[in-house]
Amino acid sequence: MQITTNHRKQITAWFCIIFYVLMIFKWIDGMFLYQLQPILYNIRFDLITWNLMHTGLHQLLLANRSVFIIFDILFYSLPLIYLFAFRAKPGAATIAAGIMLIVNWIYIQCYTLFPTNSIESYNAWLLFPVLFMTTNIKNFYFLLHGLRYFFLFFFASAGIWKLVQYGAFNPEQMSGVLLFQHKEFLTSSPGTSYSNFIYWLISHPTISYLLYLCGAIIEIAFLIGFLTKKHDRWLTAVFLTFLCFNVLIMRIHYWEMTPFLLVLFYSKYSFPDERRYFS
Amino acid sequence: MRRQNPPHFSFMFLKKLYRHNKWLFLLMILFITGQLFINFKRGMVVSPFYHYGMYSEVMKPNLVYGVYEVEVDKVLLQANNFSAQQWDKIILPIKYFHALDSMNLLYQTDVKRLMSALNLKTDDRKFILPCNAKLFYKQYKNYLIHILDAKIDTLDISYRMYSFTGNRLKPTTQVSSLAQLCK
Repeated sequence: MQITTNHRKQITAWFCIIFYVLMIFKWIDGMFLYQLQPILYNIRFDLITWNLMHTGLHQLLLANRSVFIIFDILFYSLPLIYLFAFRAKPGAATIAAGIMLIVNWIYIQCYTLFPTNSIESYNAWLLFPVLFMTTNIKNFYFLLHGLRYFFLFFFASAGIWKLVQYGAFNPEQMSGVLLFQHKEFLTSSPGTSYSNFIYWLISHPTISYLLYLCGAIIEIAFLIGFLTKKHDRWLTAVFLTFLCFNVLIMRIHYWEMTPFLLVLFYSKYSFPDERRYFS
Repeated sequence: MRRQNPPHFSFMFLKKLYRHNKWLFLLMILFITGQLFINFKRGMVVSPFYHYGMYSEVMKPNLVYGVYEVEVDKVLLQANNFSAQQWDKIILPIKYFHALDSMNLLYQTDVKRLMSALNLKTDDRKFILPCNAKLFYKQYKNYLIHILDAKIDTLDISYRMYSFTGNRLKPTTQVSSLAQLCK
């Protein structure tokens, strides 16, 4: 079956649903900028971030806290504005997606400079607006698959890093990781069921190492997606399992990556006018 | 007869893209090159090209761990009472404050050097944050009142060393005060 504008509408709608569901959870956790009211920033080793910092925008935000709410409103309203524009007039949707791209970039760059999350987990919000900027269904197909390859690379490279940095060959790796990740939890909340669970994993390095190794193998398995789309359903299931295990074992949330589920799900639809390119 | 879908090797995708739209092809080649370059080069990143190598370096259990402790009205805040995100909100600002020395050093050495190599200007005032424990304490206290939505009379922030013995983290008497975290 070929990809159509109907699929594009579905992808846009699902993107907005995921965005706003995650927004509700963020609001409950008090993670909007106006709720957070951060007091300091860090410098990450990123050339683009340094250029943004050179404008002084991050300091302007810290000095004028009322601007936080304007930033939040802009960031959280744009997907909805895009959706309405897309349904009303495709040309206007391109402009709305372009604005969303710029706002998302500035918001996420600033947001992750403050003590919140790492910027790597916000890739979906940084890259999906590019997909929405096109009105041509053929360009849309290529951008969708470009995002799919990016997502496959994201996972596969995480696994490859574990090989080249030797983490995957260290039998005590997961015990070391768990201690580093949970030291504040283990010392502030000893005797709780979660602390006991983590201590149990730490004191059984073979079991915890197997978990780490499984994680690395699963990540590397995403390379299969570069050869075929046949297993994208399995990759979807693996991705969701990975997200849940990350929360359960590491207390790390990667839910902001969930829009990438869409690129796996809709990859099964073929290019419009396939024959022309394979004749 | 039903036509078989062609195989979806990534190079076939690029070939198809090249035939369809050369500008989009060029854009994707640049993206792929950027991503691979950043990964092979390691070190500095250029958004949106990052490394995804978290916890990939060798990590063995250490003998000693430094742990941030926050006491509100003489009661130690416990991670178990907060969601992961909420707990990060409590601990991360202290980690950032602790990292100020190394962050300012990173600016003085690498950021300035790399920006000037690219003919880009830098302004110390836009990057450097002063190590002022008194100011941070005051700001953090207000921040904590805001995020905990509670009145705070006394606040103690410390960095205690814990020894890892007998598969448990045990507190030692070696404690650093907030002022000692950043000099």
